[in-house]
Amino acid sequence: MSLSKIIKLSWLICLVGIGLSPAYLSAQDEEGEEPEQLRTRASLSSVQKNNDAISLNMLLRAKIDDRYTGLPGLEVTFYTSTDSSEIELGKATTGEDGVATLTVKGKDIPRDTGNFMAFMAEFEGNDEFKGSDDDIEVLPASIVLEPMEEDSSLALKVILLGDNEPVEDEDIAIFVKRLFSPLKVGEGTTDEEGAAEVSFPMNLPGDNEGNLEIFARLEDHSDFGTVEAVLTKAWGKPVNQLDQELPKALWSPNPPTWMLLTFIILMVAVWGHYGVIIYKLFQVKKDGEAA
Amino acid sequence: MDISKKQTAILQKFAPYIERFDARSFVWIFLLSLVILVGLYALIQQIVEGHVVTGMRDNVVWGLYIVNFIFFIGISYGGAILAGMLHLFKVPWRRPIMRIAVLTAFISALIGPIFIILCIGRFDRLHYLLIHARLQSPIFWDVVAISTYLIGAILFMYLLMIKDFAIYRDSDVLNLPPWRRNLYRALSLNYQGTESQNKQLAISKNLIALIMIPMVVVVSSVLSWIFGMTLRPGWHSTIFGPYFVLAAIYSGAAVIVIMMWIFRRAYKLKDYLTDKHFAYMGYILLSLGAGYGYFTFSEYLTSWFGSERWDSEVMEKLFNPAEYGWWFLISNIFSIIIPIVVVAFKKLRTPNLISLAALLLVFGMWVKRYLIVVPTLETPLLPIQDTRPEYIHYSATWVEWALSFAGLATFILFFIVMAKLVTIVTVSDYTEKER
Repeated sequence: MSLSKIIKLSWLICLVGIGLSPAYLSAQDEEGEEPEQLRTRASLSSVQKNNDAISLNMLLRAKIDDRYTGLPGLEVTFYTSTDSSEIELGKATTGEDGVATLTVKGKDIPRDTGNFMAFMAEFEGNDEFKGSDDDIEVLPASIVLEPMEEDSSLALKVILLGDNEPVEDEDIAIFVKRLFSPLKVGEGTTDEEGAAEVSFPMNLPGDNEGNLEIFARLEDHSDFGTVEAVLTKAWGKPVNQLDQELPKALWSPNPPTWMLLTFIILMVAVWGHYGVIIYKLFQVKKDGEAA
Repeated sequence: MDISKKQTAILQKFAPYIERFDARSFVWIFLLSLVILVGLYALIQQIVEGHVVTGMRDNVVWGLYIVNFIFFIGISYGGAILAGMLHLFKVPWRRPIMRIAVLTAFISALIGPIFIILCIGRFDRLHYLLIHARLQSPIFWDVVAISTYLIGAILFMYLLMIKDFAIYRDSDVLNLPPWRRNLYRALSLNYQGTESQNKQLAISKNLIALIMIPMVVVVSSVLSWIFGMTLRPGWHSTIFGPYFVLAAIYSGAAVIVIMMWIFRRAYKLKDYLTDKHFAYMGYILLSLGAGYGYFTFSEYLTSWFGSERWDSEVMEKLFNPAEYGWWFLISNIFSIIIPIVVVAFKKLRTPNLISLAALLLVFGMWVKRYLIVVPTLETPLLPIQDTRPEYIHYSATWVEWALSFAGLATFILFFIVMAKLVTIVTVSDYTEKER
């Protein structure tokens, strides 16, 4: 074997050795351990309200520990698009539940030839998460909510208008705002005039003046998305918790009378004895000084 | 004031012990201080890391700290009620025991509540107990009861010491440094032994002894109601009030016997703490042990016979040798069978055996408190989602053990220090006419 062949073979062995060395392998591993960006999933939805406001809600989630989890603190950009262009509506940041919300006015949104409003929301991505987007198209819709009071009953007349036409055979639910989540109090189906009458319960606890915040809602319609109307009426029972006289009970801030009396008697008996004893001790000291 | 020959003789006997700290005392103080220092290190760990360093979790929220709290407070109540009864009924053999009883009551009442503070997760909200106090809450009752009781225990101990302070102040037998004389002078309230002073003191002592007896019954019951007022299996029992009162007096009497034995040996007090005193204390232990045994049998028989679902789960844990069965058995043998057998048979009724039985009794009572607190908390009424074993089963950590032993060491250390400040026998009770 010639010297040049021996040198070439030595180089080859060195290169293979280096290539298989633990250091090189571990370097490879370290490169492989670089954190991967997690894929995100975007879901855009809309709520059309009766003051021409449209609330755009973008839910951003990622699969963490095998569960889809809302991603807080990420910036989402909202757009509206026409056949020819895309206009930025604004930006919003996702909250603790992973939802970013932007409210726009319906009259400012351009329509396509079919009168649809097209919305798009995009998360551009960052070091941790890959970007994602979603889009929806909705027709303008609204709910007209009319209170109906009769002698001994309350009701609501609901009219659903989609693209300025009455919408028939849709279920509209009535809710009342409560402390945590809305309370469903009734439901009706619209007729050929887009109207439905829903009776309303009496004596629901309201605020200090009996006001209730009442919602009529069409949920997740394929053309209109969610449509909602809000009405405030003094149909509830006035409740003023601060002024309310709570009974003397175990659960209330006012203890039962017998318990208060027992406590006072025991305390007076014991501390009264202590008082007498301390007085006597002063007497002992005084007598000692006199002696 | 006049000091009788008998009192002078007692002072001469005790002079070496209260005039100075001898080498043996220093060794004990050093060793006990080491245990307390380890406890302090554990406490720092707990403060820095939080309660995660303990075995307490969402499910088992109480552990060794609450067990120690009930244990020490129980001993204190026992010491106080026994001292109150012995004084009020003018029991002739009470004289050498009274001081040990009131010191037991006082020192335990200082240590017990510290364990509650160790148990509090949000110490910064401790004052909420007062500013948001609810009279309907057993926790509030306990706060008021223990603080009121602590004042009573201090007053009781002080009242029984005033005459002795005057004797130490005026005695020529004791070779005390000036600061000690000044301290006794201040504490003796110018007591000179006048008729008027004796009358005032006698009324005061009778009043405090009188009030301590019902107060201990009330505060001990209040302590039990922290458990009894909940709807937890093993706790929600109408017998818990009297059961705790009896258990407190029982364990307190046992600790008094142990301290009597220690001081009899350490201070060579056979002439004062005689075999007769141990026998009498043994009779008290026997009576209380019989009552305690009856209450225990009644409590567990009722729960077992009822076969209510949740009660049965706790019963199963207490009777199953794979869980707490052995501890339940040991607790009952140590705290009921052995003390009764030792005192019942005349041949066994010796100071050494009675004291050994008292030591086993105290250990058995500590185990019983553990068996009251932990198995119930390990039996949740509602199913929990995350059932990791460490969430359901309680196991005390070294931090909790270190602080528990620090509490015990503090109890002994305080006794050693107090025994250097005052005679362990009440000198003023020994008059010429009353020998």
